[in-house]
Amino acid sequence: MQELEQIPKPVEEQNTDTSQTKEKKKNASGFEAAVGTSRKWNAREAGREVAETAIRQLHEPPSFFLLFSTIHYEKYGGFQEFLNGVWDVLPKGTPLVGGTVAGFANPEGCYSRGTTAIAISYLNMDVAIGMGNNTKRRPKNAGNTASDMIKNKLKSSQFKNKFLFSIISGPTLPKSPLFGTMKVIKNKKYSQLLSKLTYLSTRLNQVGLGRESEVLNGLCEKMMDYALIGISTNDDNKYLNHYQFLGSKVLKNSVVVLGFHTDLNIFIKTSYGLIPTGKKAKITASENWNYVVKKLDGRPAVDVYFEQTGISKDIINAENIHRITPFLPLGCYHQDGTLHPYPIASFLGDYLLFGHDTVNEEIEFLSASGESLIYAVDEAIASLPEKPKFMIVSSCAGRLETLGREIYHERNKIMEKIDDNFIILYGLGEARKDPMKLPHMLQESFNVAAFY
Amino acid sequence: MKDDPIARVLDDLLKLDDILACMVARRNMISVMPSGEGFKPEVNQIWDNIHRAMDDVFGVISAYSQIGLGEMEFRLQDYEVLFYVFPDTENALVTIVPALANKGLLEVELENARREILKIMNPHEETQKVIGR
Repeated sequence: MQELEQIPKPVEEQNTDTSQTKEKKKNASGFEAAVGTSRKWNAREAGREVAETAIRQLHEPPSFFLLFSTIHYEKYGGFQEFLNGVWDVLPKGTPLVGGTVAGFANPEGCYSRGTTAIAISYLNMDVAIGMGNNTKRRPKNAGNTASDMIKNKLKSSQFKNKFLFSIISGPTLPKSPLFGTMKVIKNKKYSQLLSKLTYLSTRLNQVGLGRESEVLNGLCEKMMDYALIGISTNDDNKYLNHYQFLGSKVLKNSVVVLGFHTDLNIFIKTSYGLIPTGKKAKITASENWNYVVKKLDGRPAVDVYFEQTGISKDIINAENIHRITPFLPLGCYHQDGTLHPYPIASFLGDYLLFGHDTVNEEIEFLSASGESLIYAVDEAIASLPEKPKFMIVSSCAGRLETLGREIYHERNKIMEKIDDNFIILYGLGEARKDPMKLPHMLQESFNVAAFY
Repeated sequence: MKDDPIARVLDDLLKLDDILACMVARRNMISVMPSGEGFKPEVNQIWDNIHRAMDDVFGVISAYSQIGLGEMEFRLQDYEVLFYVFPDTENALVTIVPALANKGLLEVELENARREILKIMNPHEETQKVIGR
């Protein structure tokens, strides 16, 4: 890695009129992609390095810049300094969106600390960015606002293939002196109180449920002809703080969206690696926008969960809940047949709290193994039509936490199809949508967007 | 120690909140420690017990590393001690983490550290033996 002193000045200030770039300019649609990485601890230095390692591979200014980092820079200079570092290098005016994730993989490796970016330079692409605030208080408005920004900017675009990448503020765990971070509360008498607290905290303080599916519906209702994948922001799986990036701004409780129209073909595929067990139940009572399941088959939801999964209540604690429940999620099928898996976010007395809203009353108990989770990658990329020019993958932080260092298998499989120009992101939820179909907010999924 | 590239890898690991101590060690011997102030203070109170248990674990590692033992861990009170064995040796990257840590995320960085250390130890060899390429 270069030392900071050696990092070149921003591209706009450089003389780019080299024979190599002239050659590129002759190719009217010269496509270039580059992935940057930094493992530096200092926020500003990391920001500069991630931008520099990507930008120095391009001969033309990027059409857009997707930027992701782990939460660590919060303590090592802060995210404003991190973005300042990026803009020390990135050409002014480059559309930039991004956010914090639990981890990522790219051609360099797999990381749960550091930052990565993918920069695309392509003439046959019209790009816009959008954003909306207060996603936990007014999720649909936030989605609508972002949608309007993108639609206005791209209304005269002639390219037919349309894509969105959404980055939505994910859930955060309310913290209270009495209940801590509310991951596992075994005392049943607090069930109703905890559910109410979760609701109030979400509405009043915007600490709590992510409500990303409502954001997504607001975003997509006037953009049905777009394909989409997306990620919910996260921290290091403590669910306390996470951020979204838009240009030079650091945001919270927001949605930021990259939209583009292009002549590139777009391939979207989702896989899970989850195995249906055949054990089913019906949600007979729920609340908080269907995030809290109070009863299954008329009985306390927690009791039914432990009966059907066969694990002992005593095993689960705040330490291991998010390592065990991803292997034993519940799932239900949306009306269009899409599977929505739900690992348990919290046990609130008698109630189960999910990370996302349930989309059907009929649920099935699912299971997974390390092998089946990794196999999901094979399934996602098996039908790739050809070697993509670049690829963005959104996946679940629960998969990362569950697989640990075995996550390298996922990256290795992706590298059988594309040796560079890809990033895999691990966040708190994954969005996906096919053109002219409804959007879905998922968990425990592996979502590929490949461009060719 | 400051110029030891392995110590620099350990320095990086120790900056993670949930890594309380890390070292490259074998039975009865700590080969490399972080170059800074050593371990985080909370480990001191339990270090003697952990150290004794570590030596017993290294007995197992030396017996089985040649046939592919790659990883071991034990829990002692509120701490977990993780051993990532360097292939075909009796040495391991050893880390002490709180029992409540998100271990999956830490494992990713421990694997990166293991790979970097292997690269330093064997600069001309294929270093990513355990998890594929």
